[in-house]
Amino acid sequence: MADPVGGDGSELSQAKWSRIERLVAEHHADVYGYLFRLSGSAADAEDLAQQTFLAAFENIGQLREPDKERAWLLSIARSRFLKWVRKRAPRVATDVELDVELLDDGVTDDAGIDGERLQQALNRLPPDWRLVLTMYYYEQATYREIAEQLGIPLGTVMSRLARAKRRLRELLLRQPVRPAQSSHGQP
Amino acid sequence: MNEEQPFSHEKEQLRRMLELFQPAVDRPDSEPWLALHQQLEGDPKLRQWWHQMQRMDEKIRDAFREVAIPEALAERIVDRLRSSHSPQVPAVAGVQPPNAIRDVADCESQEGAVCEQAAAEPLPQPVSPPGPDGVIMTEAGAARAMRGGWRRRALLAVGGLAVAAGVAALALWLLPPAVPLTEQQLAYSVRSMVDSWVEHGQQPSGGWRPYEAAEPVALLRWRPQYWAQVSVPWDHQARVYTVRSGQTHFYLFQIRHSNQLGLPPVPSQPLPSSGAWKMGAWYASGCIYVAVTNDPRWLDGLSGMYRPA
Repeated sequence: MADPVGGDGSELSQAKWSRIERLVAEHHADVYGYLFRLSGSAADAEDLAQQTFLAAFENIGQLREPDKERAWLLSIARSRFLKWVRKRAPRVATDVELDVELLDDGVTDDAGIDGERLQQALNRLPPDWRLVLTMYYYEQATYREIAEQLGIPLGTVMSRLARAKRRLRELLLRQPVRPAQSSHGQP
Repeated sequence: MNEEQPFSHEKEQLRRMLELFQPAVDRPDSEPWLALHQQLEGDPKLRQWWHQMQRMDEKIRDAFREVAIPEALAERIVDRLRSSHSPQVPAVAGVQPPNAIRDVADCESQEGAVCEQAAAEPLPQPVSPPGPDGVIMTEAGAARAMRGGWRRRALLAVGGLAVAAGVAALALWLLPPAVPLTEQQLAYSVRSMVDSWVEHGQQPSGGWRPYEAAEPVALLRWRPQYWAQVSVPWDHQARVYTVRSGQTHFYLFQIRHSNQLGLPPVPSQPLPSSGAWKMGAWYASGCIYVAVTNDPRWLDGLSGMYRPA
């Protein structure tokens, strides 16, 4: 890339720019994908990814261990997502009030699971469930890592994840793929 | 579908425990998984359920990774970083940066707890001795460089230029934005949002609000039904109005911006579109207007619905 705007043009700025450009090149897809699964929106995911790398740029001095780059960026992305969720107006939860314990969690035809269908199901889950699912499936974090990252007890992670996984399966298996409808998410 | 008979209470407990097994983390031959898996051997029904569970888990995991990455995303991120960290920015006192940058600043300096914690979380050993990974060594290198007298003199020599640049930066900040605007990026940005609403059932961050104010009746002949505030790279307080819902979608974006694209004052310029979406853009009263619809007749009729100021 062309010589970045280097502030005072010092070695620090140049090294910092080189480093952030490499981080963007190597991790932008991962960060965007993570945020897309969490937010369910391409535009919001891109905006949050931009914010993630802006925050990473500001705090890049914290990153001392190169092998933790991905986890570090995803943790910033998670933070941006949580802040974004807090800013959003409460949404009517139409189907999350179901008692998931009563749901049959038998495994059925799973042939049609793809990224789009998955996102439709994820969009119907509350953000805290979406978060643990994304950390589990996308980030491939362990229960303990999820607990540490979110600051909640291990048992809470296990129960929340179990309920979220059951509900996700339920949505994926019981609901046909819906064509885009004007009434869904529309005024 | 494999509609099963209910499991017994004991087996239900077993299933709940098996559900906690993480293939990528847990070793099946370790306690307590060994005992659980041994029980599978003597129970074909439970074993079948377990295999189906595992298979579905893998499919879900694969599906999680199926995300289409927008074209030129990395370039846009770097461009945004550059525009947000130009050397003039910190020198302009009293001028607010764009919202997104303010958000980051808030995150880092004010809200503190959650964001800072999150940023630092994955670094279990935040303090490590200076190593070859870059940061500390480059900071030291920069400090040495700054101590050099020749650099001070050079900085003094360009001081006058810096003042002029500061004035220019002030003007730029007062007339945002720094993010380059192209027709392609504009089309992509609004289309992504519309896709997220129509295809993915999302809503704008603040939700749709009933339209009650007079504006933009002055602009359109038809009264919008709902509106929402949205963020685009060039205006984080842009607005979108929907003037009709149902099978036909019509959205009107209002983005504060200079007329960098040379858009006409009437809605006659189509933007690059794809799929079912058709887009038209024009410029009026300090704003770019972008109409997005899946019914071309609406674009054809734009001039009829438009009431020049």
